[in-house]
Parts: sequence; C-alpha cells; structure tokens
Amino acid sequence: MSAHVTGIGVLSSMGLNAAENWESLLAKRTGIGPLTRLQTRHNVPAGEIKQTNEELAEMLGLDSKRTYSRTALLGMMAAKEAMNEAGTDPKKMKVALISGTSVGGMDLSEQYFTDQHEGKRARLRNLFEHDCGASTLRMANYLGIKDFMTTISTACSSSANAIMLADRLLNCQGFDAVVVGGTDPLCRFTINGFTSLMILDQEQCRPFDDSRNGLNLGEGAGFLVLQREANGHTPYCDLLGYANANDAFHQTATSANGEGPYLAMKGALEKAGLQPKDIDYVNAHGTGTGNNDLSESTAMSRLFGEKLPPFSSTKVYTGHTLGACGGIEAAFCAMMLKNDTIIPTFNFKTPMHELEVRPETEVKTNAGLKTIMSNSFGFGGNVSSLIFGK
Amino acid sequence: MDNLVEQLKQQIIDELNLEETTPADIDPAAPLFGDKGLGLDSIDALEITMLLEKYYNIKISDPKQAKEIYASVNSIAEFIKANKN
Amino acid sequence: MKKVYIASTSCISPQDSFRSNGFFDEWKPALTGTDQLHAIEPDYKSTITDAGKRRRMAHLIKMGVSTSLDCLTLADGSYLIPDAIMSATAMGGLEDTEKFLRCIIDNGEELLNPSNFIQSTGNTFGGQTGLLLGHHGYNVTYAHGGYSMESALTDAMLQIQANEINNALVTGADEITATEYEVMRKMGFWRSGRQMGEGSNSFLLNSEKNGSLCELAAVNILHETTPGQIANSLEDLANSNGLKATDIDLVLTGCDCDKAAEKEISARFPVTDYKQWCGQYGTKSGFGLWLGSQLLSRGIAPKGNQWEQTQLKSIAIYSEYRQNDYTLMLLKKDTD
Repeated sequence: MSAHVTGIGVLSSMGLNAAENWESLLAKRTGIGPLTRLQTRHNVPAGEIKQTNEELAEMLGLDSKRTYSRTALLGMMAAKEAMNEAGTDPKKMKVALISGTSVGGMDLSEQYFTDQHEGKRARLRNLFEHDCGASTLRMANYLGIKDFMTTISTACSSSANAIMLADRLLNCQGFDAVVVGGTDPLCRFTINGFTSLMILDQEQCRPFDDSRNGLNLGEGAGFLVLQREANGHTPYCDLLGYANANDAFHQTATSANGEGPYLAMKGALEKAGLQPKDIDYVNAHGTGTGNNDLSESTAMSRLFGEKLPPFSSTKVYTGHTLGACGGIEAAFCAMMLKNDTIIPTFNFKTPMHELEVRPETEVKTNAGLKTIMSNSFGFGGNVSSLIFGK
Repeated sequence: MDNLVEQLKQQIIDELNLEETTPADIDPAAPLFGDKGLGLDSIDALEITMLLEKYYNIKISDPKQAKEIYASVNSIAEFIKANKN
Repeated sequence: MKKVYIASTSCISPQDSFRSNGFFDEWKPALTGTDQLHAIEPDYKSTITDAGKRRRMAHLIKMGVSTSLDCLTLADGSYLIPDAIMSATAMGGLEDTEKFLRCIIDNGEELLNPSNFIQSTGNTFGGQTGLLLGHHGYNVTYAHGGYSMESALTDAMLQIQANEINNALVTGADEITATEYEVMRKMGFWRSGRQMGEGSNSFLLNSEKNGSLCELAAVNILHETTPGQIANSLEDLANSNGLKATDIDLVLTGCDCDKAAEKEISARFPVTDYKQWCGQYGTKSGFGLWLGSQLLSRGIAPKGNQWEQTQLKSIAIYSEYRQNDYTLMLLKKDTD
C-alpha cells in the first residue's frame, strides 16, 4: 500500500508557505534575484529568502537569545506547516522526522571563523550546530517529535533519499506519520564552492536551453507528511515509487549517457509497477549546467523514447536549493497533481544543439495529470527519482 | 621557457597531489587530459586554474578557454608567457 | 521477517584491527596519558591501489574506502559487488570543510580549491566506494551524530527484510580534527579522562546465514531516555527478540557523558566498555558492533583483563553520544 501525502510545507525565495509559492509558480514569477542579505563578494543572482535568522526565529516564536542555524529555522517553518495541515500530533501519534541537508549549520560555522579571523570573540556554541544532525535535532525538539529522527546527507539528492526511507519506515515500523523533506540555506560556503567549480551562472539560469551556462543557488525547505492512513483527510497524492542509483562515473559530473539517472527513473517505475507511458509529467532536476541538463535529457530519451512526456525545471523559480530541492519539488509535484496543473520553465528559447528536447514553457491547466516523476541528482553520482500519483 | 616548464611541472604535481609522479615523468608536449598522458579530469582543470591565479596572477574565467590552454604543459607555459602581468 | 546476518567486517581503529588478529592476541589495556586516540592507518597504497583515484582522497575518505573495499574482498582478491551501499558519518569531511572555510575567510573568497569543497560533502566516501566498484545500486549517506551508524544499519535491514535487496555494505567513519578537538577542549570536554577517537567500521550485511559471523537481530534508536529507563529499554530489546534479560551475556558500552545511564546498565548486566579502545566519535558504535561480532565469531569474551575462550550467545551494544543520542543493538549467535 502506498503512502499518502497528507500535508506539505514549503519555504523558498518565492514565499514563506505553500500557498505563496504556488501563487508565484502560477504567475511564472521567479524568486531569483540579486543577493541583498548574504554578504559575499560574488555578484551572482540567487534565490534568497530575505528574512534574517532573527526574523525567522521571531516568526517561529523562538527565544531570540538561543542560537539556531538557518538550516534548522527554515526546516522548522516548512515542517510545521506540513504537520499543521496534516494534523500531525506527536503527543498522540508515533511520528518520525527525516531531514536531508547538505551544509547543516554552516552559516554559524562561517560566523565563528569570520569572528576569529577578525579578532572578535568567536562563540563556541556557533560551532556546536555545525553537523547536519544538529539541525534535525533542533527541528525535532521544536516540533515535539521524539520517536525517531535521522538526517541524510547525499548532497543535492538528500531529501529525495529521505522520502525513500520514510516510506520504508512506514511499511515496517508502525509509524503513524513520517515528517520528511529537506532544508538548506544559502551560505558563503556553497556560493564559493560552486564558484570554485565554475558552474554558477552570472545571470538567470536557463535549464535545457542551448545557451545555459550554469546554475543559480537558492535556499529553502520543503517537507511532506507521509501516512498510511489518511484519517479523513483528502491526500494531495500518493508516493507510488522511488529509486536511488549511483552513476559511478565522476565525483561531480554526471555521465554522458546518463546511466545513473536512467537507472533511477527506471527503478522508480519498476517499484511503482508502471510503464514509461504512464508518466504524465517529469519535474526534472534541470539545474542549468551544461553537464546536468544534457545528461538528464539523454537519460529521459533513453527511457521514454523519442517523444518525452511534458517536463520542466522549477529551479528557474527557486534556484538550486541543494539538499532541500527534493523536498521542495516533491511539494510542488503534490500541488501540481492536486490542481491538475503543469508549472512550466521559462528562459527557454533554443534547444540544446546536441539533443533537441523542449521543456514546457506555458502553464497548463486541466493537464490530465495522474502520475508524475521528480528527479534529484547529487554529487558523488547519487541520483534519485520519485513518482507521485493520484 | 625551460625553467618555466620545469617549475610548472612541479607546481602541477604539488597542487594536484600526483604523489607517484616526478617532473621527469611528464612530457611537456603530451596531452594532460583524457586517456593518454597524465589522464587528468575536470576537477584537475579547476585546480590548474587556481594554480595559475595563485602563482602567476592570471585569471581564467571561461572553462572553454581553459580547455585549449590546458592541452599540455607547453601550451600552459606559452599562455603564461603571453599573459604574464 | 527475514533475519539479517553479518557476513564480514573490516575495522580501522586506534587498535591493531585492520587485516590483523593483533587486537585479540592479548588483552590491550586502555591507552592512558592522552586525550586523542588516532587510528592506526594502513598503507593506503595497498588498500586503494588506483593512485589516480587515491590522490584526491582526504584522510576520512581513505579510511572509509579502505574498510569498505576490505570488507568486500573475496578469497581470490576480487570484490563482491553489494546490492546497496549505506554510509554513516557524524561530521563528514570536517578537515576539508574547515580548509575551504578558511580559504573563503582568510583569502577573501579568492583562490578557492574545488577539491576541498567536493570532499567536504558528507557522502564522499560512500560515493567514492561506489565509483571504485563501478556500483550502480542504492547509495545513501546518513549524517546524524550518534544515530548515523544506526540509521545506515536500519536502512539496510529494512531493505533486506522487505526482500528489496539480499546484501548491503554499511560503513561508518569519522576523523579527529584539530578544530573539533580544540573546541571540545575549551568546553572542558576532555577533562575527566574522555578521549577523542576516530576510525572506520564496515559491515557486509546479508540475508544468508551460511558463513556469517553472527546475526544482527536489532538496531534501536532511542531518543531522550529518562533516568532509570535505559536498563528497561535493554530488557525490552531482549524480550522483543525472544530473549530474557538474563540471556544477554554481555553489554558492550560506549558512554560519552551519561554516567548515570551506564551505571544503571552495569548494575543489571555484565558490561565491558568498548570505547576505551576506540575513543569517542559519532560513529563509534560501529567499533562496538565490530567488537561484538568478532567476539561471537571467535568464541571469546572478556574476563577480568583477559580474553577467555567461551561461546557467548547474545551481545548487546549500548552507545550514547553527547547525552543526546542513545542507541541499542543486539547480536545473536545460533550455536545449533
């Protein structure tokens, strides 16, 4: 029996809840723009949430004297929204929390080392939030979740992989609900990291376009509540299948024939007991780097044949939110299914010269969506594919 | 030129951590990337970019341009000579 | 439900434990006079033979990849390709994270070394193991303090029990870094005899009993145990696996801070402190699991300060990480 998605929560540069995000997506309004909050010498566009940590903490009703990483704060907001919608009460139910993140409390670690560098008093407690698990622990304490928690860190596929574990836990360990997703903040660490890899576009990213020149980073969190029993709720959709595969090609790049992505998508179909023709839409990983988009398109062509199902990349709206993107895009997929609407990409003009594929460019309502796929690929060859359906 | 080539070889060995390679093993005319020659990959290319910035104050921001320049140790040396500030 | 067995193990630790029986030849007293227990590292040229791949691996990755490959090595020297790879690390590539952070801050966001960035991500040794093996299967890394190792083991067990896979490689590794040591020192953590440790522990889990070291019967993640409850949790663990509390022959303990909980266990169960040999780190319970599986398969047990020939039937492993993360594991050996 597949798991129901009974609640969602999303936070991105487009808005602080699912409704604000959906409104922006329907209007094809991007959250990507110049950085104003984060201090960095790199002048790159990004999907930045404008609220400071202090403002976020206040919105969450947290003690302003305590230290919370931005990762934890973003995660708390999205997870709380999802739990409120699903009516998840950890006091009465057996609830697990699984979070995916790539940087953990990096914003606080940056603060520590910056203070140290400038000869200021560096606060040790800033370093205590550094590891990935610390952000999940803070979230669990805030949300009142005690029965199970863990954290997955597989770079950009972290939260997609978290969703897989959530389903397995529901199957075997008697949980009433699993709160699952991912959270990652913008920080100087990742902006400099992707700069060092020379894959940040200095302009708005252009997934699947021949002129694409890299990705834009973003920040946010996306969480779902998964349950076996919907308990009177009308679920958004069900999690029908999933698979994780390893490209085993290179530390950062994806193989030219898209072997890993192909295996992940194929595996997800097998797990769901579906055929390629059953997929009505693919939410592509579509970062806008030369390598990813070509490799992903090649893999889709291998799987679906000449005529691909409608597909798009929502990273033109959020930027690449790294460990959070699987959770955020799963929430987007849930809203697309519920509203029977395809959210397109924009900034697409010219198909790639190596392989001509065309993402959706207009909002499509009454799209007849029954079954859709969401891809998330990460460093280390870690690629994942999820299938949601009505 | 010869000095520059030898110096570059050593810098490449150090920065790329080619622990079992000596300067004598590197043929300055041989391709650095791909299956032949040193067999370096795209991350090595990024590290060579960093090396050029660090030791020669030369900034390469276009990865496509880098591909041509990094064909061999000789071609890098020529580029440095032509662009040294 | 399908049973899960430990088919093979590999361990890099502060002890003579890698490809060696040295640790069990004679009783090794706890190391004193130091608060850092560094791993005894193998010659990585012999464990990771591809120089091209090895050159870009940091210390943590070399440890993680070495025990992973060693654990999969077959009699003829080739590698068994597992159905899935699960990895665990509490801190990830901390050394490279710090190098890259300092690079950003000290160089004003210039001269950035991409290798440090790439190696800083948590999933590097799992990904690198997959890359070296040409493994296209499931590959996930858990990074949650003292739950990391147990999360990875749980994932593997769930998939074996659900018949999704037949076997899985599970590796947990963490490294000592100067900054973490120093930060903990300033907090006074290493006073009172605590020792920082490091290492990598790999396990091949299998649904097949033949030739296995022992059964991995249970992995429990507990949160916020209240005082007085931990010994009961151990008893529950025994009961839910068809045993009485008195059937647990030995509890291997790895206690970071919570002396009361450890006391509570030792009052009701025979205990040996495993942490004295490996030190404190996020995935140290991997060392406890390695030790437990070795004792069961070798038919030895601690008695006084000696290894005694005796076949134990069940060993529990209790671990606590910085008073937040509490876990229990249960190993069984069928002697029929």
